[in-house]
Amino acid sequence: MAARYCRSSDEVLSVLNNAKVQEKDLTSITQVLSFPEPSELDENLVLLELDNALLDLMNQGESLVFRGDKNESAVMCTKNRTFDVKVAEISNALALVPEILWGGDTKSNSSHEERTLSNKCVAKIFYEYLEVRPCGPRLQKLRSLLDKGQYSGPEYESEVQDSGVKLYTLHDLLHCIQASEEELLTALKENFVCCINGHWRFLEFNYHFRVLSLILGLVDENSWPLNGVVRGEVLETLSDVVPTVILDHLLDWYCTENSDGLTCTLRDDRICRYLGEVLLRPAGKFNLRDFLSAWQQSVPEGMVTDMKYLEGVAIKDISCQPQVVRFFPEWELPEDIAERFRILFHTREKWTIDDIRPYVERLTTNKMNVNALLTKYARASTLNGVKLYSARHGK
Amino acid sequence: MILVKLPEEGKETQWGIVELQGDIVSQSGNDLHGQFIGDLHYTKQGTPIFIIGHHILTGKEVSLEKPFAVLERKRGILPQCCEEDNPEKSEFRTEYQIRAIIKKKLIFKVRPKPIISNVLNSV
Repeated sequence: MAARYCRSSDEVLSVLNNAKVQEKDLTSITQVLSFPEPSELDENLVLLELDNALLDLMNQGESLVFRGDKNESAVMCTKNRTFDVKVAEISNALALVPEILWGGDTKSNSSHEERTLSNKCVAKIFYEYLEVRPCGPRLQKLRSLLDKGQYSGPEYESEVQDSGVKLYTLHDLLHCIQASEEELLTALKENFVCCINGHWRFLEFNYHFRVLSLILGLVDENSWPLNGVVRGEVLETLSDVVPTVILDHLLDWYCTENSDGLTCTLRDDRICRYLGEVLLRPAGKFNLRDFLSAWQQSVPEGMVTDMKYLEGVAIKDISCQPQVVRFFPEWELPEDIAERFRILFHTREKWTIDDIRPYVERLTTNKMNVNALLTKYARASTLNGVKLYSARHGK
Repeated sequence: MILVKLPEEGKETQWGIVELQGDIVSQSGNDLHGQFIGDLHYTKQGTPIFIIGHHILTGKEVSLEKPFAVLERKRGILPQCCEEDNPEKSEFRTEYQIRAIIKKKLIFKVRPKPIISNVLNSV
């Protein structure tokens, strides 16, 4: 290999002379830029555009994590946020120069200084860089990952173990799910995924119902008021039949703690919602009037059912006679926005904003709220003063 | 999952970007490895002047609105302690180390001026 070309001061001065640049107008350091030798070339370098907020986080010692399989578009996560990562192509060339001197670095105080040459090697020339835009967590895989390893009670655990079904720790999930740790934990909690012996699992539907019934039965037996459930006694009485960890999860989910620290209050919204699902799930469709009365009878005395509790679980169909209520769970709809809207408008032609909101809310981002989503994917019309949304390219 | 970490303290050096319009190609079509590109000067007012071949470029030193992180991909380096409980996972482990944060660049976006030299005078 030929020896590296070494530039001399004379050559630099002669070029300046030819270019009719007065040397006295320049600071005394000239940086001589060259391409790297193949051995020095750093192909492993990537440029990532940050913003100052992200930079601040990193300076505070936070790490960034890229997440995604080969067939997914990558996301970048901080501890609590997720960003979409895109390659930005540019027509200019960005030459990356380590240890570059800026204008201010080349200034010297003395006026008569010899010209010095400083060799700088370009590390790599870029025609693209990575840019990040905030996006929501991508949780679509969560349900399918966790669906197989449902918890049906201690007596079935050996079966689960023998079946070889994979159970996921938080660490495992963070490897597969494109979300930040905080967003993932929030999603797990919101979906009532329970952490059992370090693994995050759904409770099997019937088991869940059995444990809830035991708790509600105990409330009834002791004639506790809805806002006076004695937590310690529930744990003690039921610990023989239900593992404490499960009781704790259910009590946390279905109750709010009272200020006395001993008792708690049953949550109408969650209990009504679940018991409504218990009725609707096997039936699929239900005569609205029959359903409302069966539902009201199924909840603890003193609780009042309300269709608003079934947002995202079921929809009313008032177009047929008699009116019916349909089991229509939000979590079974696809994550792809266009596909989800297709199914929504296939299921029902026209929706009011309040009816459709629970089915699209989860797809919103900071930049795209429910209204923006509807503007983009649906067509609005007004019927008898009520605004209705239908398919963009519908009949 | 790929982790990005800041460099250990003090290791971060001052890197910069020189942005040129178009591309740099060798006139003779030679391999560019190790080749000299040009001389970078600053006027006393701080204006960068870059001379490439027979072109003189006048540019500007600007702060980047959004800084760049220079990431370096590192494969297969993993602390020993993790490998014991999870051998198959560690194989796929890739980490990016941040080599530098770039907050400024020199941008040369005006048309290069050709240098017309009087060969006789310069000898």
